[in-house]
Amino acid sequence: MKKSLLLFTLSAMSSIGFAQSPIFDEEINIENYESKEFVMPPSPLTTQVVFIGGHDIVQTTPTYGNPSGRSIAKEWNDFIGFTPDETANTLGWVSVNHEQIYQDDKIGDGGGMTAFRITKDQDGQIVVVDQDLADGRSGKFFNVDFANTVGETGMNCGGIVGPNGRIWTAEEWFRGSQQDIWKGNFNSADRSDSWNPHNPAPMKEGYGVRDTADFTINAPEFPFVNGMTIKKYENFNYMTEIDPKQAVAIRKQYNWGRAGWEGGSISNDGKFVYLGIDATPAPWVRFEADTPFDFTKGKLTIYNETLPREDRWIPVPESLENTFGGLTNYALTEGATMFVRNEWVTIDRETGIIYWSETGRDSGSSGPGILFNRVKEQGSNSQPASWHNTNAQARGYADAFDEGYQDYYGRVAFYDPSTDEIGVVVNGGPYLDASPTIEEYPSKHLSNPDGLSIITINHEKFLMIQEDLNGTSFGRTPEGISNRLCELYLLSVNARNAEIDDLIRITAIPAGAEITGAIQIDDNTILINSQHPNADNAFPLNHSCTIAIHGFQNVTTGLHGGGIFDDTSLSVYPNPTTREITLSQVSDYAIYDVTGKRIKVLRNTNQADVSDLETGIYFIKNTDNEVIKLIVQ
Amino acid sequence: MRKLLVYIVTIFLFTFCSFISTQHESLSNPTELVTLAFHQNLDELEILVEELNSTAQNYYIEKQDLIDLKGALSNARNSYKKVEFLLDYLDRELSTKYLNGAPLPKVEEHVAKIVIQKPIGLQTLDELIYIDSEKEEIKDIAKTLLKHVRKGKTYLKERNIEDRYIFEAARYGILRVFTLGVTGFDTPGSSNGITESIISFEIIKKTLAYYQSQNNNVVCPLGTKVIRTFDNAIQYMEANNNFDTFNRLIFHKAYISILYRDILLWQKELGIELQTEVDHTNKPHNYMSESIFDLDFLNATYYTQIAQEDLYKEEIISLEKTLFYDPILSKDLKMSCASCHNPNQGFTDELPKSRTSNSSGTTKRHSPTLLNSAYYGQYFWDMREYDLVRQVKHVVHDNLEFNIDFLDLADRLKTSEDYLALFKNAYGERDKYQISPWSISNSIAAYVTSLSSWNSPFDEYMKGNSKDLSESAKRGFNLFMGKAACGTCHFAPSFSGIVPPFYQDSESEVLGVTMTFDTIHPVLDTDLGRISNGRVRDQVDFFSRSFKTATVRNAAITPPYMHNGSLNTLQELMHFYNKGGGAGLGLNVPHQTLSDNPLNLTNTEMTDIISFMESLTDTVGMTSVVTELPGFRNNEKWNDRKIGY
Repeated sequence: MKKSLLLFTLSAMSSIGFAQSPIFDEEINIENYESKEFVMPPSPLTTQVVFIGGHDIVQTTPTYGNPSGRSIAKEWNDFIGFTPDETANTLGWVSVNHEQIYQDDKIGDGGGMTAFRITKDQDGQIVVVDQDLADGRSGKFFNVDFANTVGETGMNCGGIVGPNGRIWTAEEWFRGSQQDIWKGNFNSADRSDSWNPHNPAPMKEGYGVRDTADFTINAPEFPFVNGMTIKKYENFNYMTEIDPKQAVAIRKQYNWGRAGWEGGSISNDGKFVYLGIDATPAPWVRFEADTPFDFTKGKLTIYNETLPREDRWIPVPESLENTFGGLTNYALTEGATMFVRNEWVTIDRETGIIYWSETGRDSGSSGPGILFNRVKEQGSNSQPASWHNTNAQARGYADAFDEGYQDYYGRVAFYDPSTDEIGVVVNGGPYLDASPTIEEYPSKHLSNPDGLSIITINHEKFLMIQEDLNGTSFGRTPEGISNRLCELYLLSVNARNAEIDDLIRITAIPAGAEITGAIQIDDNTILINSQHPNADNAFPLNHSCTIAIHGFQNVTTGLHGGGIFDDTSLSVYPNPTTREITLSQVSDYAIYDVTGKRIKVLRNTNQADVSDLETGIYFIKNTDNEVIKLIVQ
Repeated sequence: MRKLLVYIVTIFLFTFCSFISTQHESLSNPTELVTLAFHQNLDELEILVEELNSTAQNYYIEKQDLIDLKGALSNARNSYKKVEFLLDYLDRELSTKYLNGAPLPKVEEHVAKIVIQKPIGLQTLDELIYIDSEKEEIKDIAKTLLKHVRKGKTYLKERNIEDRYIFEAARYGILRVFTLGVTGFDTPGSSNGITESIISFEIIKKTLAYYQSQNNNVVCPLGTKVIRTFDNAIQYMEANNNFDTFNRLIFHKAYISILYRDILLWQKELGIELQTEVDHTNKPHNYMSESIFDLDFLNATYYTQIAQEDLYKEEIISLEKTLFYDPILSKDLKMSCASCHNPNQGFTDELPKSRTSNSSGTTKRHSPTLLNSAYYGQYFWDMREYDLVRQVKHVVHDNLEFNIDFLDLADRLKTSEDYLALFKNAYGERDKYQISPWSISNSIAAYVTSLSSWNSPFDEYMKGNSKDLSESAKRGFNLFMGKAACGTCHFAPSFSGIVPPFYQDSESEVLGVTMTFDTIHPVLDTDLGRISNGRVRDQVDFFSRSFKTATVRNAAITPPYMHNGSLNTLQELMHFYNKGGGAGLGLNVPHQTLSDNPLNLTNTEMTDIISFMESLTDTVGMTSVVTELPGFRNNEKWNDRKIGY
C-alpha cells in the first residue's frame, strides 16, 4: 500500500513531463478517477480452424510407383476455391492451393492443392465430411492429383473461381530451363557437376521436381499441342483447371499460354476470362471463348489502354512461341499497356466490373521506371498504365519511364467491360512526398495488395484486400504508427481513387498472420488462409492453415468505425467488429489495466487496436489527465 | 533499513529528474531538439554524399585522385555515423539495403523471378575504394547512393521521433558499435572502425544528454552517469585508436555493458514506455535484457517458431527427451537422434561424417552440434530448412537416417501404451494431433531448443559473476573480435551468423573448405552447399560452396570442424583461416566471402584464440540421458532396444 502510494506520488510528479511527449505514469490509483464508462461489446466474429497445411492427412493416388495411400498435406496455403453444392446436401467443396514446392513420393513433386467437402453443424461450425471418390480414395482431405494427370505444377498461388464453381489454380513459379525445376544448382557456373536429369536423386526432403524427363502432352482439346513432346520445364506455368469434387486436375490451359500466372476471373456469361500475370512489366490479358463456358477454344487478347475502344483488346496469334513462354514478350512488342505485377483478379457478379491487384515492386536495380524504359529501348510502343504517369508526375518525374520512378505500394485497379476503361480503386501508400504533416499522418497504410475478392455484408459489397508487404523502407511502415504486419482490409466496391482512410481493417485473424485467399462461402462465413503467422500463437494458429471467420450476419453496425463525438471531453467509440477504438481527439494515450498498471502507450493517434486486450476493465488516459473506463467484453 | 535507503534515493532521483522535466516545459522538449539535430545531420549527409559523388565522377575521368576520393568517402561515412543510430532504427531496410549494407549481392525478395541485386552503399564503397579501386563501379554506386540518400531524407524528415525511439535506438547503437563498429565489420577496406565508433558514441551521447539537463544546475544522477560513461568510453577509444591492439574486452566490461544496462534503467526511471508496451510482436532479442551476454538476450521462440507454452510445458519436457534418445524413431530401431548428436560429445559425434542407419557409408555432411543450434533462421549446413519443427521431417524421411514414413512412425508410437500416455499428457488438448508428425517434431524441436548454452566461463566473466578467465583467453577474445576478424562473421553474443544489432538475418559463408587438411596440396571440397539445397532463391552463383556460419560456442568439445569434418583440431582450423581459406591456399573459389589475404597471426595469437574458444564451453544440466524407454506390449523384442544407441 505504502509502496503504491509512493509510486503514485512520484509518478504523478514525473507526469508533468515534457510539453509534447508527455510521459505517462507507470501506475495510477484508479480510485482517484470518476470515469465515464464505455463498453466494447464482444466481437460478432469468431474463428475456427478448418484445415492445417503440413499437418492434416490427405488421401493420395498411386504416384511414382507407390500405391495409393496417405501423406501429409503440403504447406503454405494460398488461394481458396469454393464450389457450392447444388444439391444443398452440404455447403460445397473447398480447394486450397499450396505454394510450397516440395518433393513428395505420394502427392507428387512441385506445388500442390488439397480439396475437401464441408457442411455446417447446428451451431454453424464447419464440418469436413467424409467422401468416397470415384478413383477409390476415401477420407476427409484429398490431394489434387496433378502428377498423374496433367503433370506436376509449380508454386500454386492464386486461381480462378469460375461462375459455376469451376476452379483453376495458377502456377506462378515461372521457370526458364530444366535446371530451374530440378532440385539442382541452376544459375551456377558449375551446375553441371551435380545435375543429371535422367538420374533423379534418391528420396529426401527437398524442393523442386525430380522427374525431369521430356513430357508428352495428352490434351486432345488442344490439337495444336496434343501429342507434342516438350521439355519438362515447358509444362509448368499454366492456369490449370481442377475438379475439386474428385480431387484431380482436368487440364493445363495451353491455349492461354505459359506465364507467371497469378489470378483470374470469368464473366457471368462465360465468355471472358480476365487474367493477371506476375511480372514487371506485365500485360492485362483476356481470353474470349468461342462458345460460352468452353475455354478450350477462343481468342487470347491483350489490353492497350491508348487505343480507341473497339481496338483495345489486341489478339495474340496462336503460335508455339506464344504458348511456351513468349506471351509477355509478344504483348510488349505489340504495344500492350504495362503494369507492375498483376496479381489476383475478382469480379462483381452484379455489375460485371473486374477488379485486380497490381501489387507494385520494390526498389533496387529493378525499379518499374527502369524496366518500363528497357521495353521502350527495345523499340516497343508499350506505355505504362496511365496512372503510372500520373503518379510519376506527382513525384516530379516527366513520366513513368524515368529511372527514378518506383511503385513501392501498388494498388487495386478496376476494368469496366461496359466502357473498356481501366482505373484506380485505391492507390497504396500514402507516398509521403505529398503527404500531410505529422499531426495528420494517416493511421493506416496499404502496401502491396495481393489477394483480392468480394464480400457482401448486409447487402453492402466490399473488396477484401489482402496485403503482402514487399518491404518496409521509405516510410511504408512507420514505427509506432503502423506495423510490419500484413493486414486484411475491406473497401466498398464503389470506391474510386479512394483514400487510405476509407479502408476498414479486420483484426479477427491470428496475430502476425499474412492473410490470403479470403473467400465468402455464405452470408455468415468467410474462409481465409493464414500464412507464416507468428509463434506467439499456440498450435495450430502458428502454422499455415485455413480458417473460417463466422458471424458476418451479426455485423449490423460499426463496420465503418468512426463514430460521432458531440462531447468536447474525452470519449471513445469502440468498434466490436474491427476491435479498434476511435478516440475523440488525436493525442497521446496510455491504457491501464484494472490494477492501475500501465500496459500500453499510444502516441499521436485517435485509433487503437485493442484486439489483444482480454475481457476486463481498462482505463484510458489522455495528456490532459482525463481518464475514461473501457469495459472489454 | 536498506530498503528505506533505496526509497529515499529513489525519491531524490525522481524529484530531480521530474524537476528538470518541469523546467523543460517552457523550453523545447528533447524530442524536438533531437529531431532538429537529426534533420540538420541529414542535410549534412546529403551535402557530403553530393561531394562524394562528384569526387567519384571526377576520379572516373581522372580529374581527381584516390586521396581525394578517400577523403570524400571518409567525410561521407563520418557524416552517416551521425545519423545512423536513429536512421537504422527508423528505417532498417533503408540502411541495410540502400545506404550501408554489407558488400554482398542479394536476391530480390517477393518476386518469383530470380533477380540479383548488387550491393550498394557506403560499406561497399569502403571496400571498393580501399581494396578494388573499380572506377566505374565506384562512380555508379556513388550516384545511386546519392539518389537513395535524397529519397531517404525526404521520408525520414516526415517521421515523428518519440522519446521511446531515442532510448531504444541508443541501445541498438551501443550494440552496433560493439559488434559491427570496433570489429571492423562496417569498414572492410579502410579499417576506420574505431574512429567511426567515436563519432557514433559522440552523437548518441549528445542525443541522450537532452534528457539529462539543459541548464547544468540540476542533475539526474543516472543520466549523469550515462553521459560520464560515454565520455570515458570516447576517451578510451581516442587513447587506444589502434585497430590491432584495441582491447575489446575492457571496452565491453568498462563501457558497453554499463551503457547497455544503464540506458534501459534510465528509460525506466524516466517512465518512458518500453518496447514491450507498444509492440507485441515476437522479437529476435529481448529488449528488457540488461546484457548482451545474458541467458535470455536472444529469444528462442522467435527463431524456432515454437509457442512459448510448448517450450516450457512440463509434460512436453518429459516427453521430448525420451523421443530424442529413443531409436524407435528409426525404421530398424538402429538410430536415435543421439546416435549422431551424442550428449557426451557436445551433441555431435567425433566423426567427419556420421554413420548411416543402414551401416554402410556415411551421411553427406558432418553432424553439427545441437547446442544453441535453435538460434538461427535456417537449419542444416546448406540452410535448406527455415523451420526447426519441420527440420525433424528431413531426418525421419532420409534413407540414410531414420528412413521411415512419418505417418507410419506416428502409428508405431500409437502401439505403445506408455507413449500414448506421454503424448496424452503433453498434447491432450490438441486431440486430433496428439500423436502426429507435428507433435513428435514439436517435442524434438523443443528439446533442441532447450540445449541453450549461454553460461560458459567466458559468459560468467563478461557478466562479472566470475573473475576466472585466463590471460590467453582474454587476448584471444580481442583477436577474435579484431585482428583475426572472426567476429565479423561469428557475431557476438552467439558467435554465429545471426547479424547484430537486430539478430534477424542469418548468414552463410564461402570459405573454400578443402577435402582434407593439406595446405601444401589443397583440394577443394566438391560439396556445393547452399546453392544445391534445392531452394529456388538460393540457387545463385554466390551461394556455391556457401555453408551456414556455425556457432563457435562449444567448439572445443565438438571436433572435427567444417561441413565435411575435414579439420580435425582447432589448431588446423586456425591455420586454415590464417592462410585465407581455400582462395588463400591458391584455389579458385569464386565468391569466397572470407578474405583471401593471410591474417598473419602468430602461433601465440592462434593459441590465444583457441584459449578463448575453449572458454565458450557450457553443457551444464544438458547431458543427462533418460534411464528407460517406453514399452511396447505387443512387440516384446522392441523393448530390448538400447537407449540412445
